[in-house]
Amino acid sequence: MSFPLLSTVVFAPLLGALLLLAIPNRQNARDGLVRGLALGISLLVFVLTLLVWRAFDGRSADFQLVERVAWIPAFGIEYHVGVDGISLWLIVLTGFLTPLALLSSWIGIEKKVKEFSFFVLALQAGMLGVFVSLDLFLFYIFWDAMLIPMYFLIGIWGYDQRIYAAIKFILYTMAGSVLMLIAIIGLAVLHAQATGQYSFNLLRLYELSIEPRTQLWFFLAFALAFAIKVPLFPFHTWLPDAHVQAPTAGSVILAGVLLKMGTYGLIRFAFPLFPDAALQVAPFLGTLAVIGIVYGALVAMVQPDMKKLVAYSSVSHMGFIVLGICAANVQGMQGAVYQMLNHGVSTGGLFLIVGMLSDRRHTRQIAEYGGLKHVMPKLVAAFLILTLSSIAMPGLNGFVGEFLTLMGAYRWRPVLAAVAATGVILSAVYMLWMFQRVNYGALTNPKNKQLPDLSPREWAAIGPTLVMAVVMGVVPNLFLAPMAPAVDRLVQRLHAQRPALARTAAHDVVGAGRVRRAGKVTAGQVRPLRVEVRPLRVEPSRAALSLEP
Amino acid sequence: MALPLVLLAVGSVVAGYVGVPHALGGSNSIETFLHPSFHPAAAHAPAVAGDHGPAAASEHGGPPETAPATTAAQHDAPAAGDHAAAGGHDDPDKARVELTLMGVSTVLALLGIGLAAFFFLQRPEAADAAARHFAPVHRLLLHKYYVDEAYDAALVHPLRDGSNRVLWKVVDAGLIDGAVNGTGHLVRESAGALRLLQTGSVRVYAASLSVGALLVLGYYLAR
Repeated sequence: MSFPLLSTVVFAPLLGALLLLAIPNRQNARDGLVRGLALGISLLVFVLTLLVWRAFDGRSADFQLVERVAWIPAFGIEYHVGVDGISLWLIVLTGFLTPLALLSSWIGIEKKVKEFSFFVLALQAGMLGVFVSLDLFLFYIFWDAMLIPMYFLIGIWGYDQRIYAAIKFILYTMAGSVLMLIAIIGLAVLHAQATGQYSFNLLRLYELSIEPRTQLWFFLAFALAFAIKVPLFPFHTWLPDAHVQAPTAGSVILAGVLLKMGTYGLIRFAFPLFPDAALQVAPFLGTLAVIGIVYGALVAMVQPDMKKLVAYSSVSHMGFIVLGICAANVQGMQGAVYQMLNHGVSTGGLFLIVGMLSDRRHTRQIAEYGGLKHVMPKLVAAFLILTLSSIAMPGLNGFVGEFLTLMGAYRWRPVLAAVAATGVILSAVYMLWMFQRVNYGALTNPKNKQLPDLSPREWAAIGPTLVMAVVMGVVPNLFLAPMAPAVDRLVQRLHAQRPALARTAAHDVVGAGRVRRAGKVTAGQVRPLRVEVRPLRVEPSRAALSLEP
Repeated sequence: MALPLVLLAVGSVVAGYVGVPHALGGSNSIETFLHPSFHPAAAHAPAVAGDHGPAAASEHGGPPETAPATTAAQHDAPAAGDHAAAGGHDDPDKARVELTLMGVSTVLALLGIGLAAFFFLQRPEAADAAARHFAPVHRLLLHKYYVDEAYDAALVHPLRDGSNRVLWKVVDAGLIDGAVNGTGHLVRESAGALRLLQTGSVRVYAASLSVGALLVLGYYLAR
C-alpha cells in the first residue's frame, strides 16, 4: 500500500476545515471566498471518493486500500482503515452529498459562514471515518466525534426550536452510544481472555466465539445505538425535531448520510460480530422495522409541515432497510445497502427542494403553497422526479432497492414482507398528496405569485440527485456488482455453521435452518427456500423414477 | 383537448384491423404475438436457474429431478397451441360465435349512439325528464354508484383521521416522545431534589459529616 488514499479521503475535509478557520473574515467580508473554498474542498473530496471507487476491485470481498498502524499498543488499539463493497458506496455517497449540501446553503446561511462551512467539512470527515474504520475504538471515536459538528449545525443555524432539537439529538444518540462503548470494551476484554491480548480489530473480533448469553447482551447494546441512529420505531422521535429545526444542509446530510450509519452499523458490526444473537433477535427487529414502515408512513401522511413529512417518511424508508438487513439473505442485504444509497439521493434531494421553497417563502407549511407549477415549472419538475424516486417508481432508483429488500424479506418472513408492502402504497399516498397540494391546482396564495424558478446554483445542487435517481434506477448493476462479493461473504458469515453453542439458537430462529443443515448447503445464496420448494414440486416424478428400475 | 381525442379516434378506427375475425376471412396477426415469449419460458427455466452460476451449480442434487417435469411441460405446451390454432380455422361453431359477438356489439354500439343522439341532439329536455322520472337511479349513476364515497368512508377518512388524531398526536407526540422527554424531566426533577441537599451552609455539612462518621464507626463496632 503505497499511497494512503483512505486516510487522505478522511482527513482532507478536516484539513480543509482547518484551512477555512485560518481565513480572517471580519464582518463577513470574505463570505464568498469562504463559501467557494469550502465548496472546492468538498468537490475535491468527492473526486477522492471517486478515486477510491476506481482503485476498488469489485470482484473481491476483502477489505481493500487497507492501512494499519499501531496506535495504542497497550490495548491493541490500531489505526486500521479499509473499504469493502458495502462501505464503498457510502463513502462515495458522502462525497457526493456534501458539495450539494454546501451549495444549498449559499443563500440560506447568512451568519457565521466560516464556522458553518467548518462544521460541515468536519462532519464529513467524521462520517467518512465511520465508514472506513476497521478498529472498533477508531470507529467509536469517529462515531461520537461526528455528533459534535451536527450538534452545532442544528443548534446555531437551525430554526426556532433549534436548541431543544440539538440537545435532544445529542443526548438521545449518546445515550445509545454509551452502551455500545461498554460492549466494545467488553469485546476487547473477551479477546484478551481468549488470546491473552487486547484487540479492537474488527476482523479479529469477528473470529471470536462468544457464548450466546453474552452475545445477546452485546448485540442488544450495539443494536440499541444503531436503532436510535436509524431511527427504528420507537426510537425515532428525535428525528422529526432534528430535521425540522436543522438548516437545509444539516437535513440533507442528516437524512442522506447520518441515518445510514445506523444501518451500516448493523450490517458491519452488530450482525456479523454476534451472528447467533442477531438471528435470534432479527424477527423482533424486523417487526419493529415493519411497524416503523407503516407507522412512519401514516404519520407522514398527516403532517402539515413538508420537512416533518419528509422526516417521518425517512422513518418509513429506513424501516425497509432494517427489514432487508434482518432478512439476512443476499437479496435483503443488497437491497438494504442499495436502499441506503437511494434514500440518500432521493431524501437528500427532497430536503434540497424543501430548502429552496423555504429560502423563498420562509415557511414549510404545505397549506401556504399550491399551484407552484404555474410559477416555477423547473423546480416542480425536479420535485416530481424526486417524489417518484422516493415512492419507488420503476425506472428510478427507489424501485430497485425496495424490490430487493421486499424479495429478501419475503424469503425470510412472507407476512412481514406483505405488511411492509403496504408501506409502498402509503408512500405514494403521502408523497403524491403533498406534491398535489403544493404544486397543482390554482395559485391561491398571492405571496407565491412572484417566486423565481431554479437558479443555476440551485440546478447545480439538485441536478446531480436527479441524474443519480435515473442512473441508479436504470443501471443498478453498476452499483450492485461491486458490493456483491462483500454481501455474499457477510451472509455466509451470518449463517456459517458454528460449533455447538450456536446450534440450538439458530435452529429455533431461522425457519429454513433445518433444511440448510440437513442439506449441508452453505447458506450464502439464499438457497434454503429453493431447497424447500423443490422437493414438493418434483415428488411425483421422483416416485416415477423409483418405479422404473 | 381536441388533439388527444383525434388521436384516439384514429386509433379506434384503425387499430381493430390488426386482428380481422376468421369469419370475415381475415387472420388474427396479434393473437399469437406473445406466444414466442411464453413457450420458451418453460424450456428456459432450468437455464435461468443455471445462470445463477456457482449458487445453482453446487446444488445439482435438484435439477435432474426437475428435468422430467419441465420436459413434459414443453411437450404439452406446443400441443395445446396447435389445437387452438386448428380450432380457429375450420370450426363452423367458432365462426358463428364470432359473427354473433360482432352483431351484438355492433347493435349495442349503434343503440348507444342513437340514445346519445336522441338525448343530446334531438330532445335535450327528455334527459331531464328521465332524470326526474327515475330520480334514485339518476342519483346513483350521477354519484358513480357511490364508490368514491364508500372508499372515503371505509379507508380514507379512518386512515387520515386516525393517523392525525391518534397515531401522530397521541401515540407519537404523546406517548413515545412523552416518554423520551419524560426521561429528561425525571433526571432534571431528581437532580433538582438532590440539589436541595447542597445548601451551602457549612454547619449542615459539618453535621452530616459527623453523623456519617458516627454511622460508619458504629457499623464497624457493631460488626
